[in-house]
Amino acid sequence: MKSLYKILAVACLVMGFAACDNEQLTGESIFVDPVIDTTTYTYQFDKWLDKYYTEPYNVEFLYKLDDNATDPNYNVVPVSIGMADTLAHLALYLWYDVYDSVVGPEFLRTYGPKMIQLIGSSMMDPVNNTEKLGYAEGGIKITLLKINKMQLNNIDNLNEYIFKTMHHEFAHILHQQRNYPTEFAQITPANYDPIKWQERTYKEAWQLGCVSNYGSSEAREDFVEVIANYIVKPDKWWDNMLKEAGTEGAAIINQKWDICNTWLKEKWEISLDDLRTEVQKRQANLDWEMIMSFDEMLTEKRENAKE
Amino acid sequence: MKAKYLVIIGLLAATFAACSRDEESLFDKPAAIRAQEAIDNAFDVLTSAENGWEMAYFPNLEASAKGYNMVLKFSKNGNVSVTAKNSATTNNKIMTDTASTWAVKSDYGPILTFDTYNDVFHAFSDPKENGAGLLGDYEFLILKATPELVLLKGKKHSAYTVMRPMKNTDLAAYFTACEKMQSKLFGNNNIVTLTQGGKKMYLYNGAEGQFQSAAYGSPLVAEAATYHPVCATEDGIIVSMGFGEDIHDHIFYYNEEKGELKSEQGAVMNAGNLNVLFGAYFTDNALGWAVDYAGQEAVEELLSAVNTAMNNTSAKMKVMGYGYKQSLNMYEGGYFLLINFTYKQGKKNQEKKLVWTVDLTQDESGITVANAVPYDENTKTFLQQIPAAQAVADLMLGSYSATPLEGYLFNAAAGMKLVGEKELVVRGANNIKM
Repeated sequence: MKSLYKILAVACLVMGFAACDNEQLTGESIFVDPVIDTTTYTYQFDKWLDKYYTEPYNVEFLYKLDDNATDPNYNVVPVSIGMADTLAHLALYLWYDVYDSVVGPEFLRTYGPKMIQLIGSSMMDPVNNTEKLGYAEGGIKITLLKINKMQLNNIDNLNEYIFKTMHHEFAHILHQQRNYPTEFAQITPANYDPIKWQERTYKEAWQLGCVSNYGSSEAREDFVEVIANYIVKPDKWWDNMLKEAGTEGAAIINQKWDICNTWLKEKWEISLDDLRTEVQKRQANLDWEMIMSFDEMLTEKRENAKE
Repeated sequence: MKAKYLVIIGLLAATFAACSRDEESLFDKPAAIRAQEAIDNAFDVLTSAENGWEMAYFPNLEASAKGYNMVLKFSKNGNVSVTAKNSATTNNKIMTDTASTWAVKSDYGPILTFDTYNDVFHAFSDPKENGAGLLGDYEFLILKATPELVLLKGKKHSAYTVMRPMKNTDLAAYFTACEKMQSKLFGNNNIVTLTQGGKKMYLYNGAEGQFQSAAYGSPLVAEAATYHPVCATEDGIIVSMGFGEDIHDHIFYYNEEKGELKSEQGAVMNAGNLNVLFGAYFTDNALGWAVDYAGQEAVEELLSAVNTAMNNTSAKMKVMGYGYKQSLNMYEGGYFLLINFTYKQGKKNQEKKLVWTVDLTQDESGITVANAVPYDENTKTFLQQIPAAQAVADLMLGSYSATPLEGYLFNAAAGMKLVGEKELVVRGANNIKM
């Protein structure tokens, strides 16, 4: 009798669990390769982005804004299609093709961001009087801000707001993948002020051994500011900074530069000076007609490389 | 032993219950399919309006928020054209941008997004140098999408925005018609009585692109006001939020014959009882009432008598006129009647301000002005010299019932007619000083 109870109990349990087990999988994946819709208003641009970014670099170029992908604490607007197009050409000329030329075509495909997001406005914080121009997330995504306000004929404006931001954020992407030396943060730890950095002038920051006031906010920003400023700012600017920084400030900045330079060389096999020379050469020749048709030159270059 | 039976029975019950699949679903389709259907429906509705959509756009619900007219055309290829004309973003010129995109996507419901920058549309969302700008949304939760009406709610700033299919194919004519409606209904900062069922409230200061509301019969004090953004259209007005718990309608249609705005829910905005309104408006300390006499002949006679009396004085004064500054005021808790005579003495133009206190009583049936008593020494001295001037003040005394001015709708602020034995026209004025 006891055995009968046991058999019944086991049978009930087996039936109970088996009762729900009648789902069938179809065998089809829910993931489908995205196809560019030929009927959309932005088809030509989307096709161009696919050809020059997604296909060669495995990067998604996000110019249609999804508000969920932004920081809800800020009010922002999308980028205009025209400015997105201009920025895409500019980044190809001054960023992607620079790395292709200096480091090699596989570098950005492997280590570059997997998403580039464009936003039309900056992120203003009126309380702290700060303006965010870009940010990098998780080693895979770069967001560039204030793109609608690009002053295409003002090299200083482009340098400060766009070019520097590109290299600044990309340097973040790199150190998010391979950490920067801990000794860097130990050079001027007492000078970092994440709350009131914006109250410092550039000169004050230089004298503290930082290349910019934002660089004086925290070590990781300081690290990428050294790289970004060195890449995009001309000799005259860099020399003036060292002069205005004073003996002590200049010595600290040079020490930081050495660490950045060594890190790029040892961890990434990148020559900071080669990168700078190439960027400066291209920045000095901002021929918009050439930049907007740079894609054609690139196609030719790639086809020649194949042959 | 009993316990064993109970266990067995329990297991059997659980076993058969596990197979029970007869619970009815609340919905006829899975959530994902319903979400996609809502997106498809919104897309079809938005792209099907032949002349596009008129949008009453409300950037936010801040105290400074206003409503704006825009016209949008959604194309199936994802392109959108936006046209607007307003003082805030287009310098009062008709401006169109056709080079941007839109989409309906899924979030916590179907979302209408304007995902690339449009010079006209995103001018309301641009954060500018202060990080805020006009605090407008560019992503909206689609609450309703029918061929007759699309109701949206701003995802970030929560204002309701209303779209209806455009009837007018002439954009310039459309914006002109909206401006005319705005001017007609609110051009004079009118006070409106909103009635729904037995409930009433005042709405005022509509000329600023928003109503302020106050309890019926209460003084209109700006500090305590609740703000309601409003947008005039071709056929009436659209408000972003309803009014309190009872009135949820967004659209109020204008009926020229009745001089009122009425919502589909039956809420009505009109001048209401002007006798009550007069009191509400009058008790706002910042305001007074400039008074004109409808019976000008009587005034001329009195002025003639005053003139003769003044001319007979040794100073030989000649009355040039009076009028604008003749006013009823409430000041420091009392009611005053002010009359300014302008006169010529020799070659000099002079001005004499005379002040009387009056008793002003008012209820729903009417207004009574009584007992004009000289207030200050200046007035008393003048009246001793020219007693005939007292008659000009006394002319205003009497009982009146307030009615709208001809040709006006909600004209409490612009003016109203006080009709009794005599007829006065009173006009709101806020620049009268004691």
